[in-house]
This record gives sequence, structure tokens and C-alpha cells, in this order.
Amino acid sequence: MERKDKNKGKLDEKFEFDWEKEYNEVKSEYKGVKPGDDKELAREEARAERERARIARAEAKAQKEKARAEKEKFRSDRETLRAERERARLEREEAEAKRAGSGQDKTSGSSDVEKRRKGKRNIETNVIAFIFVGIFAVMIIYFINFQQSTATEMAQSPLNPRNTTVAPPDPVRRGSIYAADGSVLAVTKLNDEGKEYRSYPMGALFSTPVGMERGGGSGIEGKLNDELLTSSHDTLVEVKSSDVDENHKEYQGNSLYTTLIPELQQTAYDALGDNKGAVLAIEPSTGKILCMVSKPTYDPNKGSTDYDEWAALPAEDSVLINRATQGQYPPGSTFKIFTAIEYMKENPDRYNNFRFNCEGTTWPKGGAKISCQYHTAHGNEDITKSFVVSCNCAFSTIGLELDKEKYKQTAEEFGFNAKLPIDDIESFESRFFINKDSSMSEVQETAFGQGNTMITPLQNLMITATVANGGTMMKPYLVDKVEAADGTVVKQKAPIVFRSDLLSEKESGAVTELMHQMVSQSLGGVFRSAYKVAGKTGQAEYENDIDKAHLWFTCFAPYDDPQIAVICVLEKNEIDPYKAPKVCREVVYDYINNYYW
Amino acid sequence: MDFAEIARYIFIGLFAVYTLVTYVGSTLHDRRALKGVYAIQNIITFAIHLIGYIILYLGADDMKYIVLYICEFALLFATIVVYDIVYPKASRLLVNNMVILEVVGFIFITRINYDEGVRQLVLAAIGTVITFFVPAFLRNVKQMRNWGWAFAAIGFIALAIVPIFGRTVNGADLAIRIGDYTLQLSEFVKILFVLFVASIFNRLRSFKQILIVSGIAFAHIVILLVSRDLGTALIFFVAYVVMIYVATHKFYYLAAGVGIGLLGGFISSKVFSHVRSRIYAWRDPFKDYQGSGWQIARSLFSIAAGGWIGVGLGKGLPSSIIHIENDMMFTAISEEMGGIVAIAILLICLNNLILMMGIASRCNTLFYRLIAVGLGSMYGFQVFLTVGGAIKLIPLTGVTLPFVSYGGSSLIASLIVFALINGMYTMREEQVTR
Repeated sequence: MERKDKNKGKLDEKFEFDWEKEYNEVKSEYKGVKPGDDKELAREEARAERERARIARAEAKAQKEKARAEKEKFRSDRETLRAERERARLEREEAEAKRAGSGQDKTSGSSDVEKRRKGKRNIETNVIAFIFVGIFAVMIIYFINFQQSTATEMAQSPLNPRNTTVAPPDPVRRGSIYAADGSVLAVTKLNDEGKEYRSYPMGALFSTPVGMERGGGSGIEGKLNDELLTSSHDTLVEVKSSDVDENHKEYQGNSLYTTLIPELQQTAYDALGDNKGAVLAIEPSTGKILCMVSKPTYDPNKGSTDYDEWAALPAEDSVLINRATQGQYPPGSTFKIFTAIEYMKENPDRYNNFRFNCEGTTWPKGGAKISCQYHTAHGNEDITKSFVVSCNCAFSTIGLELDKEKYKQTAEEFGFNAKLPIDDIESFESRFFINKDSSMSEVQETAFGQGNTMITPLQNLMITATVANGGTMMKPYLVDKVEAADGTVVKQKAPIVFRSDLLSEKESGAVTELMHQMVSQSLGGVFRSAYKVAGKTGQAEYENDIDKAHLWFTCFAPYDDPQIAVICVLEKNEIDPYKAPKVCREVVYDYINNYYW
Repeated sequence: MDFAEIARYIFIGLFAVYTLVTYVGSTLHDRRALKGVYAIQNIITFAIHLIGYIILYLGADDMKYIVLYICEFALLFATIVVYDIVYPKASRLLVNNMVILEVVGFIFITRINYDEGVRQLVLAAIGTVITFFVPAFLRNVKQMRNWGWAFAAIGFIALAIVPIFGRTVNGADLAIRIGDYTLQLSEFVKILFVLFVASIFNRLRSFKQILIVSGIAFAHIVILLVSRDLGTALIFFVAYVVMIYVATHKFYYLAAGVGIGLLGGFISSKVFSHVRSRIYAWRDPFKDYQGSGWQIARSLFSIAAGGWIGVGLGKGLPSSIIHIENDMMFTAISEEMGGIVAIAILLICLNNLILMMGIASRCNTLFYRLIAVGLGSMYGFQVFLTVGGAIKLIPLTGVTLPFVSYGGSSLIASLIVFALINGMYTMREEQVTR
């Protein structure tokens, strides 16, 4: 009501003003007339005309003003009406609510002023408020649950900076990497300008396992990047860099001690020569990786200049692929170890009764035609002879006797079709494709090592090492100690069993015997018997290249007290059953001579 | 046990009592009892402020902390006194809650970085002076309800300027630079947006009008998404849905809004890679610990380190999280003052929301009610986004905790929001008394 009065007052004021103005103007007009002065008269008349126009304009303006005021009044009326309607609605609602309830709400009826002070709650705002109360309740419950359940796990997480890092905002100088004997494999140094750079004193020799910082990091450098950039002891290192201020602190990152033996690595590196391929050695009882070579390789010290060139190489010539853990090859005859294992597991009492007459080829009804190498007819064979002469016909026949589901299950127990349990370096899966729907020919081919199976040298060696270790598969590892800058041991890795009892004692003994017979009967000229080597060769066909194959040899020694398991793969070589064993021989002899005898 | 460790228990006690008193105060109507509530609140607030600064001073042994303390105390005291004198009818509960949140912000920002603490104080002072004029402005300028399209135009231009001229802050085009200060315009556009929607829906609520306004709201949200300011986009959306619901009294608008929100979230996760990466980081922050999951993982570590009673002010590792003073103040509080205080602060924020909705429900013009509801739901949802993000309940969106986080734009905008709501409360109170 008050607002309307105010508006009216304003309007009156306006009109008063206008009248007064007009009055004055008329007065001036009267005063200004002087008869006889034509020019003056004309000017006067013009002025009068202008004055009249102005008055007309003022009147029009006043009219407009009035209209607007009326509109305003109408609007405010409408608003009041709306508010009243709203109030009525709320009252109705309240009355309804009261009717619905027991009518105990005494305060609301006590006095009118009190009622207005409390106000009438609007339903919508109540709904919104309740929704937010709900949201906050969820948040608080979630928070309580976090503090009660996951908080402990978070507090103990190795990633939690409270557990490792002394001063996270201060930079950490990348830690060093050492070989088993303490030789430096990677270290961060300062150049003449005081800038940090990464140096690899052993160059290309250790590039495969150590990797490099460049290109997102490869090898240990890439996989254990966090560890190297963690400082578990606040040892400050000297900062010489010219572009850092005095308050700049830098902490020394943790060092990694690997299981790699430099002499053995050198032996393997030399033995592999210029071949494309890989050599890998493991201690079967622990899973320690003793050496790891992949060729072609690169000198990590040249990473800053040559990396782009390396990255551009096609996959088959790539120096950046670690063929030992990432190379996927058909296993060839080395897979007969696994087929023999499966056959023994499925026929524990009668595998020794296996008899087969090899005619050089076999073509069972519904299956594929399988040939032995050079179509040699091996004649009458038991399981041992089949294994020693690497008879494809016999093993494809064994394959057909196997339960496909169990075959697959055992393969997956041994690590196929999943990432291998290695934390220190990148590795690829090995693939085993047999399942209950596989065709007969696929089973035949898979059983003697062709088919679609793809295997990495690491996976293949883990099978051999499992045989050597009496059926227990160890988790392979490269880094066994993390040490802080002050010498405190942050982590000491103990050997970890990946899968136990994959083979019984009897089975592992029997497979060892097969492999030992294989070496002594077929490779007698390569290995001296004193080293007691047990192994299996393989020549894996690829594509349709008949004259060449991937040459494999996997072995361990001594067979009665296994110390080392070694595998070698030589890509696309002329077929030569002795070439791969000779590479492994160097490594085996070196290790046995220096660390066993 | 040193003072900081003993003080943890004192803080827990003070915050617990404050929260309890505040909720009791929200239900009281007796003026004398309320006076008591206000007094208790203010005593606790200044006790927390004093103890916090004693710890900071003892830790650094530097007089500059005492100087800053005195200046902050003067500002906060002035806030309370001036509100009391200039706006005796303002909601004192809201003002007191605002002050305690500012105190928490001052303590933690100064603890993390003294210079930022000084800046925060300066900006708080500027914002507070502005806010003293807001309720007066609101009371005297009744024409504001007809300026809807002007609000929309100004707000929209301000938003659109940012992706064009702005500079990128933490991967989001959020701010423009003016001299030494960066201005986060979206903080102020929030207010303009609410005023715009309130002004239009105040007059017209036909389906056609709703469609037009929805189109404009959608344009705002798309610009924010393109600017990578996901959190603010969500806040706009929620406020808009809530305002339609309140304006039309139709529940199905709220339901449809939730549906469209879910659908929109799904679509934007397909269209915008920055949305997708936040969702991945939320699902498993440890998967890409060095990358996108880093901040969330670090936040969880900090909260876990704090536990229920905290590690003590000055003893945590807030420096382990980048931009903690902007996006993750809840984490900093959780770590050093502990989970109980963190929950108390959440409850204080919730109390603010309830008070705002109460004011909204008692506004007797739709225009003011819509403003109160819009600003209130923005406030509530923002708290949910920042806290929910820090505790991995929802993906991290990087919005501030109002009054607590470091950042002038956020602080000044929050002060204006509270002043607007207080202004509307004041007007209502005056009408009732008359």
C-alpha cells in the first residue's frame, strides 16, 4: 500500500513542476511582444512556436510517465495478489498438514506475529534442503567409512610420500643401478656446466636389462623409475648447477642392486655375436636373472642423439624391443618339454608304455599330415626316444591323446595367456590357443611346437627352470636390493614362489631325464658330460621360409643339482641344431666354472 | 607432546561445541537465547583463531605471524560488529558461520604459505567492504528484478572472454589477468546467472520461456565445459535445475534435470577427453599414479595420515599436493586437524545451506526466493564437489571450498553471495517487524 502512495506522490510532484514551468513560459511570451518590430515579431512568433512544441512534448512526456506509473501499479498489484495467493496456498497446505497430523503444533497458532516471524516453509525449498542433507550425509558416511576401513591401507601404501620421501617438493637426483658385484650400470653425473646427465658405463652390454631414461624409460630405468626417484634418507647431494638458487636442495635417490653378473653378461653378449635374438639365464631355485641379452641393441649413452632414429626402425630390426621378455616366437621343438609334461600329468602310470612307429610322416584320419624333419623315419620309439630325436610324428600323436581343456589349463598354470610375474622389466604375454573347440590339426601342430602358440624366451625358460626346480616356479627378478644413499637397505627381495607343485617330484625327475638324454645322445659333441647339461633344441618354422628357422635351445645344469637355466633364441637362422646349444654352452660353462666348482 | 599436538584435542572440542551450538541456534527463536548462541560462537571462533596463530608463531618463531594475526582479528571483529550495527536484522548465524570458515581458511593458507595468507587477508578486506553495500543496494534497487537480460548478457560475455583471452590455470581456461591479479570471472558469473534466471522466472514461467532460458543456461554450461571448468559447469546446471523446480512447483522438472544431468555427464565424458581422464583417475587413482591419479591419491594419503584426531597443525605434508590451498583445503584440514574437525566443518557448511533454504522459503517474493535458492544450491553443491572429490566419492573437479580456499575471486564472490542472502533476510525481517 505504502509503495502505491509513494508513486502517486512522485507523480503529483512531476505535474506541479510542469504547470509551473508552463506558467512561466506563457508569462515570458507575453512580456516579449513588441508591436511594430516585424523582424522581432517573426522571431518572437517562431520562438512561441518552439515553446508550444516544447509544451506539447512535455505534455506527451507527462502522459507517458503516467502510463508507466499505471503499469507499475498494475504490476505491483499483481505481485501483491500473487503473494497473497501464495500465502493462501501455503495456509491451505498448512491446514491440510495440520489436519493430517495430530494437530499438536501449538506454537504456530499462538499469535499472528509469531506465525509471521516463523514464516511458512515453502515445500520446494524444503525438498531441496532435504536433498542436500542427504548428499552431505552420504559424504560424511563415506568419509567415516574411509577413515575406518581404507585409511590404514592408504597410510601404509609404499606410494605414500610419508613412508618414503623425506622432502617431496625438493628434487631427487636419480639413484644409481649396480650389478651383483657392485659394478655401476647407470649413474647420474654432472657435466661441466653443472647439468645432470645419465651415464651408462657399461654401454650397450647392459642396455637390455637396464634400459634407459630416454623415451619414457625402458628396462629397469623405466619400470622402477619411482624407486630411483625416491629418497629414503635425507642425504643432500652437492648441487653445482649454475641456474639453481642457494636454497635449492637436492636429495640422492635410492640405488638399485641387480642380480646381473657382468662377466656372465659379457659371455652371453659375445656368444650371441651378431645374431638377432636373445640369451637369458636364471637361477632356478630363486628366480634370479643372471644375465639378459637381446640383439640388436644400442648404446644408451647415445640415447640423447640417436633415440629418434632407433624409434623409427621397423619392428624386426628394432633395437628397443627386449627380445628376451618381449619377443614372441613359435616355440618349435622346445615345446615338446611342455607336451611331455602334460602327457605325464594325464597318464601318470602309463607314459612309459608309450610306443610309436615313426615312418617319417603321419596323417591320421581327420587330422593334418605331419612330417618329421627331413622326413626321417625314426622307427620304433618310446617316449624317451621320441623326445631325444625330436619326433614330430610321435608328439603330434601324443597331442591327440591329450585332454584339450586340461592341456590349456596346465599351460595357463605355467604362465601362458597372462602377464608373467616379473616386476622389474616390461614383458609380453605368451599365447596358447588350444581349447575344447580346437581342430585336430591345430592340436597336432601345437603339440610338437608349431600351431599358433607364441612364446617369449622368458616364458620358455621359466618352464625349463620349473623342471629344474622340482616343479616349483619361482618369480623371476632383476633387482634384489634397494638401498638408500646412506647405505640403509630399504628393500631386500627374498625369492618368491610363483606357483608351487606344478610338477611332482617324479614328473620333474622324468622330464629332467628326457632332457638329459636329449643332450647326451643328440648333442654329445657340443656339451661335455661333466657339466651334466639337460636341455632341448628347437627349430621353429616361421611363415613359409623353408631353409631358415628360429633356433632355440633351453637347458639347465647340472641336472642333479641345478644351478643355472639358460635359454637362447636365434632369429631366422640357417637350420643348424648345434648353433643355439653352443651359445648356451658358453654361458653354462662360465657360470658352472666360476660359481659352482 | 608439544603444543601443536595438545591443541588437536582443543580444536576438536571447540569445533564440536561450535557445531552443536550452531544447530541448536538454528532451531531457537527466542532473541535472548540466540544472543547467547552468538556469543558462544564468536568466542569459539576467536579462540580457534588465536590457538592456530600461536602454533604458527611457535613453529616459525617469526613476529610477522603476530602482525598478520592482529590484522585478521581486526577484520573479522569488524565484520561481526559492522554487520551488527549496519544490518541488525541480518542472519547472525550465517555471518558467524562465514567468519569461522574464514578463520579456518586464514590459518591454513598462512600455514601453507605466509605470503598467500597476506594476500588472502587483503582480498577478504576488499570483499568485506563490498559486501557492506550489497544489502543496502538490494533494498534500494528494486528494479533489479527487471534486469534479467542485462545480467545474462554481461555474464555470458564475461564467460566467453575467458576462453578467448584467458590464460590457462592447471589445465583449465579459468582466469584472465589484470595486472598482478588473476580474475576468475566464472565465480562472479555464477551470481549473475542466478540473478538472470530469477529475474526471468519471476515474471514468466511458460513452457516456451523455460525453453529459451534453458537454451541460454545450456550455452553457459557448454562454454564452461569447453573452458575445461567442469566443476563450475556442474554447479550452474544444478542451480538451474533447482531454480526451475522452485519456480514452477513441478517436481518432474527436478527429476528431468537429474536425468538430463546424468545423460549430459555421459555425453561429455564421450566428447571431452578432459572429462574422461578425470573419471578414469577417480575410478583408480593408483593406476596412473604419476599422472592423472596423482592428486587424488595424494589426497587420500593425507586424509589417511590425519585419521580422526589429525597430526597437528603444521605437522602434516600439505606441500605433497599441488594447489592444495585452492582445490584441496578439506584434505589439509583432515590431515592436520583430523577427521572429527573435518566433519564439523562439513556440518557447518550444511548448516549454511539449511539457513539459506530457510531464508529462501520465507521470502515472500518469488524473485528473492529464487535468488536465495539458486545461490544456496550453488554453495551446497560446490562444497559437495570439492569435498567429494578430495575423498574420492566423486571425480575431482577442482572447485574451491567457499571462504576456506585460497583465491580472491572465490572469496569475494562467496562474500557477495552471503551478503545478498543476508540482504534478503534483512528485508524480510523488516517487513515482519513493521
